[in-house]
Amino acid sequence: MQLRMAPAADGCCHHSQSSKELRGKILKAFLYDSKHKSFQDLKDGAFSIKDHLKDHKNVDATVKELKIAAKPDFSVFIEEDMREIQRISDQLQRKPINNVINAFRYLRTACPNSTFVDHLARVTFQNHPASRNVPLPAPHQIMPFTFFKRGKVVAAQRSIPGVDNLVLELTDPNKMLQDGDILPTSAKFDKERRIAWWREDLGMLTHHYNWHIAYPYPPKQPRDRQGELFGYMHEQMLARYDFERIAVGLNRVQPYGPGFGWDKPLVEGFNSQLAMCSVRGANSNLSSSNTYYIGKGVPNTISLDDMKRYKDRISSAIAVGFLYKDAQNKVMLDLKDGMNHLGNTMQANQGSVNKTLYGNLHNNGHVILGRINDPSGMYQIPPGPMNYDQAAPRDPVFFRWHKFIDNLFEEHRSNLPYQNVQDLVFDGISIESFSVKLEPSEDDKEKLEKSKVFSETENHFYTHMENKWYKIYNSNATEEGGDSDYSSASVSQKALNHIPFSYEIKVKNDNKHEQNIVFRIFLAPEIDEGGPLDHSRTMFVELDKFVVSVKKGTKTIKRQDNQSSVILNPQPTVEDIATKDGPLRGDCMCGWPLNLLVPRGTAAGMRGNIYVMASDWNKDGQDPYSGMEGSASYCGKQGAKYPDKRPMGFPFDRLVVNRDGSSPVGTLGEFVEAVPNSFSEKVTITFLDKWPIQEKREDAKRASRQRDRQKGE
Amino acid sequence: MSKCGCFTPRLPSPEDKNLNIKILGAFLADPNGGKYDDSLPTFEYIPRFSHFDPTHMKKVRRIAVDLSKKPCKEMIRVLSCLKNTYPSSVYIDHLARVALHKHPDTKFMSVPPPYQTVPSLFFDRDLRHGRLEEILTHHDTLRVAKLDPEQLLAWWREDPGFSSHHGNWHLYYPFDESPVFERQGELFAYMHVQMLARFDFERLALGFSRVEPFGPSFGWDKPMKYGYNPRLVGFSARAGGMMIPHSASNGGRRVFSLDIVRQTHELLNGIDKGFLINSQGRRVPVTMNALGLCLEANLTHSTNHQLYGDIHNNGHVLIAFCGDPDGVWDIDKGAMMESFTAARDPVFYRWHKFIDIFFENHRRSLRQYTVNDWDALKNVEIKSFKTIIDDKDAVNLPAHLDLTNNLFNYMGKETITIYDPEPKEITDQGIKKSIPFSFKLNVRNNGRKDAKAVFRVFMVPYTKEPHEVWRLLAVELDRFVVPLKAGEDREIVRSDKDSSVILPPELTVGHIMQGKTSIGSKPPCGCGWPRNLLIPRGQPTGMKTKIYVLASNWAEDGVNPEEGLIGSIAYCGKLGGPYPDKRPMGFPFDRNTTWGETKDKSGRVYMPEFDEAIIDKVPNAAMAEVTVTYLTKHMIEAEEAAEKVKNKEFFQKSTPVHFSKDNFSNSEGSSSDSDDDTGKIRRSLSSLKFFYG
Repeated sequence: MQLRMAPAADGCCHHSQSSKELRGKILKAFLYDSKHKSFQDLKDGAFSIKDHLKDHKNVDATVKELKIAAKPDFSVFIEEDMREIQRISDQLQRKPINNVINAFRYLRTACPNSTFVDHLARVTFQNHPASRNVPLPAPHQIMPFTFFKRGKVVAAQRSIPGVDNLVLELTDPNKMLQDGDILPTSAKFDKERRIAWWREDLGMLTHHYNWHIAYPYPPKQPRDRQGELFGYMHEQMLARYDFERIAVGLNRVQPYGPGFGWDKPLVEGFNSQLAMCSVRGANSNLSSSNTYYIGKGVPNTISLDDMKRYKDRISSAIAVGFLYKDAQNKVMLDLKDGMNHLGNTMQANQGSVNKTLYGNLHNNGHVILGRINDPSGMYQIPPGPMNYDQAAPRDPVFFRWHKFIDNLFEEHRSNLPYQNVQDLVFDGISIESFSVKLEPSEDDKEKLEKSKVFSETENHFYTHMENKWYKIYNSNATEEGGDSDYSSASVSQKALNHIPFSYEIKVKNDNKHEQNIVFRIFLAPEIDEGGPLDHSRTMFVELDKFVVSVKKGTKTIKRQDNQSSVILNPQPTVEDIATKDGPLRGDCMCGWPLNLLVPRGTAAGMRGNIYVMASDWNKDGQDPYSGMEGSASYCGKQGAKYPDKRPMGFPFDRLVVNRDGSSPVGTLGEFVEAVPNSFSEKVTITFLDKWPIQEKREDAKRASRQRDRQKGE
Repeated sequence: MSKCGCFTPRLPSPEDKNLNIKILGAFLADPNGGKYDDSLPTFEYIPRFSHFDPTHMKKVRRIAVDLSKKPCKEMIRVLSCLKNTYPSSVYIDHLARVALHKHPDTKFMSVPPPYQTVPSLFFDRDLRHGRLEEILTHHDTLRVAKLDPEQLLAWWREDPGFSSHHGNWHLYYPFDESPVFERQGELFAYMHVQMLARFDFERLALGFSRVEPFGPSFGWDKPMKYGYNPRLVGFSARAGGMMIPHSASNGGRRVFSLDIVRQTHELLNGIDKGFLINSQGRRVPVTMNALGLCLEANLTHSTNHQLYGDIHNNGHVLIAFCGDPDGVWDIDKGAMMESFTAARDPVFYRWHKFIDIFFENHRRSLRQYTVNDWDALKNVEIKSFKTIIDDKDAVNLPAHLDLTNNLFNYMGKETITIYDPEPKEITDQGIKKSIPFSFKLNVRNNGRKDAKAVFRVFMVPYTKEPHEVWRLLAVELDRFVVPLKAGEDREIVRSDKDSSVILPPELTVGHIMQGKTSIGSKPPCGCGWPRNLLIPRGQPTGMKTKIYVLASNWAEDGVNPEEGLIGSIAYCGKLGGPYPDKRPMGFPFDRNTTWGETKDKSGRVYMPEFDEAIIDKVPNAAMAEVTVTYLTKHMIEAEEAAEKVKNKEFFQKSTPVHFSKDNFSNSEGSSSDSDDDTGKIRRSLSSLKFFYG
């Protein structure tokens, strides 16, 4: 097999040949230091982060010079906050690395729970010339209270006297007993709780968090095809979310936004149980106030009417096919760049075609939905999860909001020229067979054999829930035998995983010369809605995209699930950074978690279709000699152009028509028939575990039986 | 103890002191103390405990009764174990208070104030962690107050003494199966209507309108415009624009909004017809007490719990759970769910204004008062009545201020030790305080017999409304008994600290630890209006109010004419005994008064006529025009500066006076009375009709 893989140094993001010493030093800038010398002489209540610049005599020189202070309710969705981050970070990048490290060690200890400081640190170290290649610790390890629920981080906030802290208090001992996934009593009423395990998956949340760090909006110029990727990444999240919803018997996610019911009360309430977020009651009335306060800049308000106008302007721009750059100039929404312009405009980054006219739709929606409890801050209710990029996808309304955003993209896509099947044909290349093979480890084999539902190893995915342990820092919770310098604790959370598998593709090259082929693999649930393929087009989940060169003749290609171009490679943990010698690979940490690569399916087996298409990488690839390594599909490549020149989501990015040029392709089968260089296969996804509800009941029964026995003794 | 179970003062013995210190163990968690150890098998922990949930109240009562049958020592041991097991639980604190109150040995012992033992109900998280200032500066307070006007009254609603008054009242007047106190229903109405009167008084001082009712047919089916954030741990905030859910459940019991609507109609029908239907289907006359018991709603003494339901409690539940009526999202309860916190929420007053509509309907059907009712103590004449500030030096007021018929308030600090559960000192920065004052009366008994007079003192803001409207604003300040010898002139000076409305100084944890006990001094129920809020705050330019005093015959009015009115009886009754005053609560402002001949054809009595009639026809009543001034921080600073330069024209400088003198022509204290310019302007300013202009 001759995979023309790019050399390892060309990965998605940079990786680092950093010295262990610098690595350790930067790590310390992320860890709360109870022995920090600046705070040793403080007495109870003597320190307030607000005043530390003027009063505190031990304040770090760099912090004082740049006037860095923690921002309460910091949000990446507020433009002013992002400009502040950029302003400080730009100045810090010009300082010697040691000064920067000292500044962050001070800030981390002064405000250990500030999401602002964490964001600033990540942006600064990722861009500072001396630390560009240094792996940074994972956010969920460093900021546990933003990723773990109250019951998980049991009173785990540290408090040094008087310092700006979030204090977690568990008044109700019963709350500690609740596990992270389904609550049996409530799931009956709140259907959304059925897939809480998915929305609260740490890998998914960190992926979203890091994506927004990697693709910031102002004041930087957008990266290559950022707007399009913004659309595609979120659309794929929606596709995967819909997949999971269908599996648990819910309908596909409904949009919520201007013109999509947001003038009526939001029926779903939500309680993230995160210390920094407020809860949203049922039937919260978004339109109780037309004016929402965002930040302290000018203008510092946005009204629901404004949002409606921005949406209408974008809608009409899509309808007429161009955006106004100014009074004279138009930007055409064509096939090549239209999605990108639209995405940039909606994400409102510097690539926005006209920010005055089209506003800041996506970000302001986040802020408005985050502040639904307290639009003008008059009750001092903290914002909800939608305000924070770490927490937003926990909230079901996140997906409803993004469905609204995606609907605008879909409006645009429906205006594009149709995809004709004959343009998809790759002459001389045909796929003879395509299958998924299980590759269970010894443990997995045992698990499979134990379960009664296990039947076949081909074209069958098996998923299961497993307990994952995470080591967290910057919390009060300590465990015995932990790191003596920095207290750490272990918390567990249930997460989905699947039995490892691989794809086997038999491809035939009838051409005379060797071909550079890119394989695009998608998965979609089988639905009985009828209608053309276009109805389920947005449900296709990208599983992998990889490049193989094939000589004349037939070749069988094998590809492992953990090589996928959507997933994040294993990242160094805090422990790795602290202890491992030698070079350490650290990516930008953006990428879909491997454990969520395959949707959970159902216990009875959920039917789906897996689809592969081969196309010419010499034409499609930005650089024919490098593939889609790293998590390029959702995150691009750092410092380089997006490797695939085709529209993102190709070939499901728009309506596919038959050779006549007008009739839409009816089924996936027809599609494969018309395009010999593609193949589809029916698959089944079986969830091996029982419903957690049952499990819980059984646990409770077992516990009560045990109690009875003890009492009897 | 006396036979009737009433409180009788006696000298404390050393055993009392030791016992009282032991009782503290039930309220303060000891980190090394014993844990709960199955020694009370019937015990059941209630996680989402609420004072407004009858099932919870029943459970608590049952457990407390069980406990109170144990020996005193054993009961305290169990309570301490529970406290150590659930150190911050409101439920355990409540249970301890109820159980101690029910046990005969500990019934009259001092218990520490709740704001020390469960501070999470009284002080927001930030204050408890010394971060309040920071929070206030992070969010622009001024902007907050502009958008949410209710924020301007937060100092009043969130006063710890006030919160604990309301909580303790409900603690000692439970609606569970406990034996009902005499006139409990009437007191329920009176205590809450006085809270409303005081709240309205403060609102008027800020130029707000009086509080509007909220309930069935009063905006119940529309969104609540304003929200509220209690900022207390264990409580959730209510966003603006929330709707009342059709039903809500606090664990087991489900409450339906439709039930409240139906019960409201049933009860209003009953009031208008003049009779209620009891559970046997018989007609019983409507009285204030019966009405109060129906509304509160007492589980055993409500006339018909089935028919008239549980309106008051269910309203609390529905409002508190409007965000999560089914407990789906595990959202904490709202402030309305807890009697110690309910009165912090502005919607509490709107709800109780609605409850008061029932009482008002009934009061309207009662016989109206005439001069004869007021003239209740013949031959006694109040010759003069005024307020004075006697302890002038203690408060460092400038020399030129008129201290007669002038009351002053300011915002001060209070340092409180809380047990959270470790002892901690916090400083509450927003406590309203008043400069201590006294009433001074000159009374003459013209009769030939000795008399015992009870003086009833009420304060009313100046208003142009008819009596039937402003009657509801009458705030009770004091009620006291003075014997008057025949033919004698007597000067009475009554200090505000003796008021029968206020809670006498409480014994704090520190006091009890030092061995002090309330045995031998005052009844320790902890219920009573906080002294610092006795008089409303007024306005910086001086708010014009009137204080009415009426003397009536204590020999007729008193349940026990030999006994005076000790302690905070006006709002809280007497611990273990009947309400000592036989008159309807709130007399003489409990209903409308007509003087027979009025200028208005409708028979309405306006304030000037009312005052005139008092002076002419009711010698045993008197009225004083009192100006209540709020010394703002700015004014106090200016005052100090003025003091330094010995400039007497302080008011001219610090208040923007830019009207012409003619504007003051309607002020009744005409300018020619005074040769002092300062006094003239001050009086003029104070007489501006600030809110009715």
